[in-house]
Amino acid sequence: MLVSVQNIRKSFAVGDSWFKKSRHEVLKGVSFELFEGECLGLLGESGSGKSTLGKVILGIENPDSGEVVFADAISDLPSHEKMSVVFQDYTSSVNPRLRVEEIISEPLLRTQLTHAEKKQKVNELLVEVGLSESMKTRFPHQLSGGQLQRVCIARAIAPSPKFILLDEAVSSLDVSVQAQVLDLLANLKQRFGLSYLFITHDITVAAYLCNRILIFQDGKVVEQVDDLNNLAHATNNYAKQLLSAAHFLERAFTEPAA
Amino acid sequence: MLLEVKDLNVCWRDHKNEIQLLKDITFEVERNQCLGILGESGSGKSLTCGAINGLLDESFQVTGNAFFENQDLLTLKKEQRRKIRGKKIAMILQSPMTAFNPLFTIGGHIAETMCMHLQCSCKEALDQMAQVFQRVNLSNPKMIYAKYPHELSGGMLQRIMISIALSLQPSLIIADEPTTAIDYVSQKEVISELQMIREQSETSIIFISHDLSLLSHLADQIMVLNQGQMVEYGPAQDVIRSPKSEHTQHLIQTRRLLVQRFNHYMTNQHVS
Repeated sequence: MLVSVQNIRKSFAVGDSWFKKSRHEVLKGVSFELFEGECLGLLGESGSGKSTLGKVILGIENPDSGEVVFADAISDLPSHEKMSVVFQDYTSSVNPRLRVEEIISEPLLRTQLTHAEKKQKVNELLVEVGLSESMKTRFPHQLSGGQLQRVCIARAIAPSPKFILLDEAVSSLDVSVQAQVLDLLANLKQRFGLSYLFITHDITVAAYLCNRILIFQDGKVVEQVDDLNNLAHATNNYAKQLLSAAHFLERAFTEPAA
Repeated sequence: MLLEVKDLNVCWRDHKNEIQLLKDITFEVERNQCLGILGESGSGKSLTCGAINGLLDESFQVTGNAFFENQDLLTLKKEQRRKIRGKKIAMILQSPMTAFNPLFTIGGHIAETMCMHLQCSCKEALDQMAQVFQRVNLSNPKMIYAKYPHELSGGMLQRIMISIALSLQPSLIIADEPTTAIDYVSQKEVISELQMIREQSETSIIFISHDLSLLSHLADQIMVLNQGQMVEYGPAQDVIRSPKSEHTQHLIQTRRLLVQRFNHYMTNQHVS
């Protein structure tokens, strides 16, 4: 067990009246465990609270109750070496005034590396994510979406974290680029022994990368699929609906091309 | 022939430079036919429809012909175009969450559109809409009218947008990536609604998407765009089964790769 999420609850205040305050519960008691070296998919529709859960795990939001427990091996590390994150919106998650090399070396600021070592590291990381070293002097607007997302991935793996949260990391990329980035992620996971928590709404993407899938609805985990071969045997009503809808829509590709 | 587009070129220019965004786009849409436009982001799919519908501003220069019911849309006066837009050519936009004005109720949106085009009273408009809602399986119209956009889900809003488009009985509906912002369950609903429209009425559809599997459900003809140029145009089955251009093959290949594993897991069950 690497990360264990225990009965997390989180609610936000709604309505701005002084007299009548009510709270809207977004997470209604979520528990699961993430094991070392696995990719766990968290699948849910927009508004189901999956991104909020991601923020709670990262420590950006505090839960109302429940806790996130890390394994002993990593619980003492500073938080940026424990975990990092890749967001959906790559343009707003980088500083438009920094060059690619500055973006990637930002998480290395607090390390003891010398200037030259950092440069070396940035070069290595760029190659690692499939970009050329010549790109390091470019600004974010000079890169395509897929390239910029690769830069974000390079930044995420720079401090060698144990686990990475991927919050809809491929959802705003073109389909043809999605597969490349997913392959890259699968590759990095192998090489560095990473664990992923992959938040997504797209079940085909989840099935492509993940070992286990949790289906999330309305602030709760409604279905846990430990073996993807049993994916079709989901028992929960919403999970069934989702699977049949996806299966229906992707039908065109079930039979091989003539 | 409902819509015939010939040699559509779009340039963007400012005081310094000129960039050609669309090059010689030519296609036809028959009555009661569905044309699918496939392309990646930035390939010019939305721009094509914007140009046809007159939604681009002065910095874009549009040349070519677009004959709609024997009128050339591109040479029409602004006022005449405005009458066609909405009444004859309706649009369904990409993200239902942002396409609605957050300060208006759904009823307000409906009344605004319908009163403008049909010159009827607010009450008549809403009554008429209730019938359309029935057709797209939206129940309890009174309750929906009173809601604000943020109170409804994306799939729900998208269906409302479809009903507003339908209510004016247009001869052409342009659906610009109508399902990208919503989840699979609602995607399926939107697709089956569009399929129903095709069965029940004589409406033609232009369906823009980057997702080939969606197009395969609806389109009779598919046009593939790449960086502002047409790379493939033909009957849907031919394009999917035996694509000629390299770009289309690439698109289909990567999409298939992505879906393969999911389909594999899903079909396992049928065996066991």
